[in-house]
Amino acid sequence: MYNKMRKQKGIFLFILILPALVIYTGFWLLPVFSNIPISFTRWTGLTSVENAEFIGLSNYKELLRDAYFWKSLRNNLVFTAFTLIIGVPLSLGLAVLLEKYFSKIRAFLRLSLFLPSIMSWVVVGLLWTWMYNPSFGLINTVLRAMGLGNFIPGWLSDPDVAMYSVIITALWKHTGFYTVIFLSGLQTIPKDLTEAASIDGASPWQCFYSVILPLLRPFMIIVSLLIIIDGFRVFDVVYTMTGGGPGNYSTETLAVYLYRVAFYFYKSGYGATISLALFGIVALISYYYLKMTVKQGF
Amino acid sequence: MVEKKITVLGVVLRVVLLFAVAVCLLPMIWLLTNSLRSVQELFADPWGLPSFPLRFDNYVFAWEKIGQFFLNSVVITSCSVLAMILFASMAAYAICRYGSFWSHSLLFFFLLGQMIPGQAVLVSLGLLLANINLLDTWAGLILAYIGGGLPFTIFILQGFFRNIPKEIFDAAAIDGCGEFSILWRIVLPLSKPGLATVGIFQSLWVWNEFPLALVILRKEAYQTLTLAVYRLLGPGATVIQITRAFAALFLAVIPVIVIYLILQKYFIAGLTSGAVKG
Repeated sequence: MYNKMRKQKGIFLFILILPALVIYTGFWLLPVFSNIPISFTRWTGLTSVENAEFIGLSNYKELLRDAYFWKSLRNNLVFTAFTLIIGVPLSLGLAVLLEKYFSKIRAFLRLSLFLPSIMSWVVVGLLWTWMYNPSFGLINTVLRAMGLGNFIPGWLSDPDVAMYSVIITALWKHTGFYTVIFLSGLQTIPKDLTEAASIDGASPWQCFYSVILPLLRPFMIIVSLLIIIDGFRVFDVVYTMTGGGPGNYSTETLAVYLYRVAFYFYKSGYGATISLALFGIVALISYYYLKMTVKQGF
Repeated sequence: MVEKKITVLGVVLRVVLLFAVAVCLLPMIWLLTNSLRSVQELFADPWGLPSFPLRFDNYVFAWEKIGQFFLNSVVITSCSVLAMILFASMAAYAICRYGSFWSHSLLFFFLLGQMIPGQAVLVSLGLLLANINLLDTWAGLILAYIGGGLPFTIFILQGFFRNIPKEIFDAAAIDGCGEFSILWRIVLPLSKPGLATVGIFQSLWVWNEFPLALVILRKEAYQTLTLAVYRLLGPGATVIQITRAFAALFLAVIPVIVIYLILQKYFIAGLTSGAVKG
């Protein structure tokens, strides 16, 4: 009797989990791994799968000597490095200031900082394309008003500058998001600790450096990993603002390049190979991220 | 009460904070004010204020252009998120009720999906959907969103379900409550904050999502708002006057801001809960 009930319960639970299992496996997990067989073929992706021609490891060999692949990866690294090195101190600093000053309007300030991060990358990309516009953009107008008109670069038209313009846009979009994460971290620190330190004669700077910063370590790791993950899969904002240009792939990232290869050059096999490279990099960092978040019990 | 000293540093730091807030708001304000101006006004003075009468006809025109896609996105987002939450709560419940081995293995299996960036499935998902005749259909896109959204949704919900005291389950079972009624009548009502958290996160994700929609939806009439915004206002699109484009872009962010304002306390709670996704 009891066994029968347990069996029934097991079957019922399995029925409950089945739809999620099927959709998740079929439409998310399977596609990633089906990149593997596709990556061994030459195939336009336009015709049926029978027309895929098996070419062994050729796509992987091409990947290793494809200058555009490496250039894209380098662009991802530049994007990641700048968003990380500027983004972490900036959002941490803002969080500290937000915790300390203007407590009466904190909710409003937090909302304002946060607003850019809930909009889509496409919306943000277009908004900033217009902000950078040479004839009506806000940025050049402000710079001219400040008398800096001679120093205005071709924000999105100069191959040496475009990447940094995209990075500024990304910082604008996401700094508020990380600020709010740091703010929630700061609020976990008991007030007694900082008070005790200042009674013992610690300056506000020592207090921050020796008490607050060590306690924020897990939050700093989490924010850093989020920025790195975002840095490697960045797609929409580049696609919207520059399409990988100007000039010779000056802002092309891995995700934009794989889209170009698969859907402009119709090389699905090679596109799948780049997808796997991107997946490998992101999965590795995400693994550490998940381990952190699960361990921290967030 | 300690007397508050106003120091130079304190003033500077306050100004820095207010400056950062201004930088965040300014582009949005610029977008809004210029969406109510004419093109001539914008070019004559890019940071001028709108003059009366305000050009509300920009919005009328913008809505004519993107209204259809706005509704498309409402349908796609609500279907995806409702189905995602339904299937995820069923699965999360089962995960919590299984013995520890299956519980952990299944959770781990679902969490693998959190390590997959959406960009890495573009090529193969497109081919898969083409093979089962779901390419260029809402069903195909919605299935992709459900599949991609399930890991995070299940992870958050099982966390909430686990916090419900075991005794409540036992009491319900003794009173003759079946597993389904336990889930429907006890677990879900007790987990409303969890449902709200995943609801807002996934709504924003689906509403804003771009690359999957770009690959899956080709027919213009069926496109999502994000996709249509890119096609109609993005590079190479010259059919629309720029201040009308401003109005269209502002229309596109209104729902996002409204969702966020209504549910923001749940959003902050879920912020650090492993919210990575392609």
